[in-house]
Amino acid sequence: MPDLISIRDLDKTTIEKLLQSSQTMEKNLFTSFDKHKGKVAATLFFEPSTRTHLSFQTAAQRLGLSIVPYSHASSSSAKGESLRDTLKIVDGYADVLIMRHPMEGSCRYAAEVCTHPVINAGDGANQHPTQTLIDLYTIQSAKGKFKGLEVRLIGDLAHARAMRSLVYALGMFGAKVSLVAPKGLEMDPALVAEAIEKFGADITQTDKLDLAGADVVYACRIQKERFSDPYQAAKLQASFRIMPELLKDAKPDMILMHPLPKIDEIPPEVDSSPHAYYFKQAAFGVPVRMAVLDYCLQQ
Amino acid sequence: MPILVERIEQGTVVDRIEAFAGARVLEILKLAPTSGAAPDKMHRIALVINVPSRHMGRKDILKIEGRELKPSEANKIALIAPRARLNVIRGGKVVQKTDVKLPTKLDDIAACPNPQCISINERGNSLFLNEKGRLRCTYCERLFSTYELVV
Repeated sequence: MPDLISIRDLDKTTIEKLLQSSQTMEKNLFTSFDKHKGKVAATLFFEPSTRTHLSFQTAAQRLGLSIVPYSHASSSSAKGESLRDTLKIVDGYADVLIMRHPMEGSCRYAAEVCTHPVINAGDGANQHPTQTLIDLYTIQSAKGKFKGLEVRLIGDLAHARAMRSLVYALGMFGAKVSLVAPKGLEMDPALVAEAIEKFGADITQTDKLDLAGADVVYACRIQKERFSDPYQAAKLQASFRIMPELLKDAKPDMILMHPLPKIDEIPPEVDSSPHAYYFKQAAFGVPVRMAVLDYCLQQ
Repeated sequence: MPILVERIEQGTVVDRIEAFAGARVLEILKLAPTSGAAPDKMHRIALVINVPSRHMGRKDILKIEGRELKPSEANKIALIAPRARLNVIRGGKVVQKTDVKLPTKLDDIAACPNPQCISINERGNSLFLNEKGRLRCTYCERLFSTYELVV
């Protein structure tokens, strides 16, 4: 049974199948759908999570799976047990392991250690492949295609995990990507070069915030905790806010996405704008993660 | 004054090793005493360090009596000795010359430089894949130049 560790492990056909399956899941979301009844999913979250954790639990329950939640604070790993031993034990209990861990590569390691499939729910600053699938599904649902779409990624592109994987995936699907980041918070050039080299991706970069001409705008927060100077962080954040007046320049059908939580980069008055798509994007977390669980539990 | 090192009859001379990288080459090829073998069971080895070289300025040379290294084994040293040349010796003569090249996979040769990578925090060994001369850690997926991996 396959693991889901990194967007780099998935080819275009597999991603397309997962997006198609997500659509089926979305259509059947509120009907009885006990395809995996009797199976057990273990959720191992070594870091705090709200949307990812809850949507995985909801997705698992909608497929009929039971949940075994792992609590880091009250576990043996808090007493010093190795990650390997913890994984071996949980692998003996569950049919699928959903894991978030602060160490990069921890989920790939978990997949080596475990006999059951492992799903990466975020490994440090490295990968969050199910978020990327949700982002792709959101764009496909709204626009029906990727090729030729102009997708603008805005914010702290140096640190946002969601953006790192998304650039790769958008490159794979032929979207035109523009990266808008304040100076010093640009995306790792190696990631940009990789998407260009592997897929011939059309990627441009600027530090000027502008929404004109974009089909999709994807904003992320400035990660203030990464700055030694809080004033500098606040200044950058203020200059990268998606204010209602900025939306006036946007195409009428532009969708505004955000991985959430949004802090003050999108003020609450934008929530009622027809462009605001981020709550719908978050809701897609359930059908997409149902599709991922189904993929990993296939015989 | 030149250093005289005995010729070998049968075995391998690894030439053009970066100066002072020879000791690490011994470790990677598991020819060093740290590999665990008893000295009387080990090959006779000469390591010449920091000798003048026409091509490189300075270099190390490794002579191993009684063992012919295969190119696949020697390629592991390409990370720290990218210009190394393998000379297979039979009957006191060089019968084959091969330049090392970076293998497609580097298994536990160098530690991942990313302090947040699981490979150095718990897994205990590393695995890098060669992507056109740069190396991607299989775990944290970061891409490094060979220079960054040489510590």
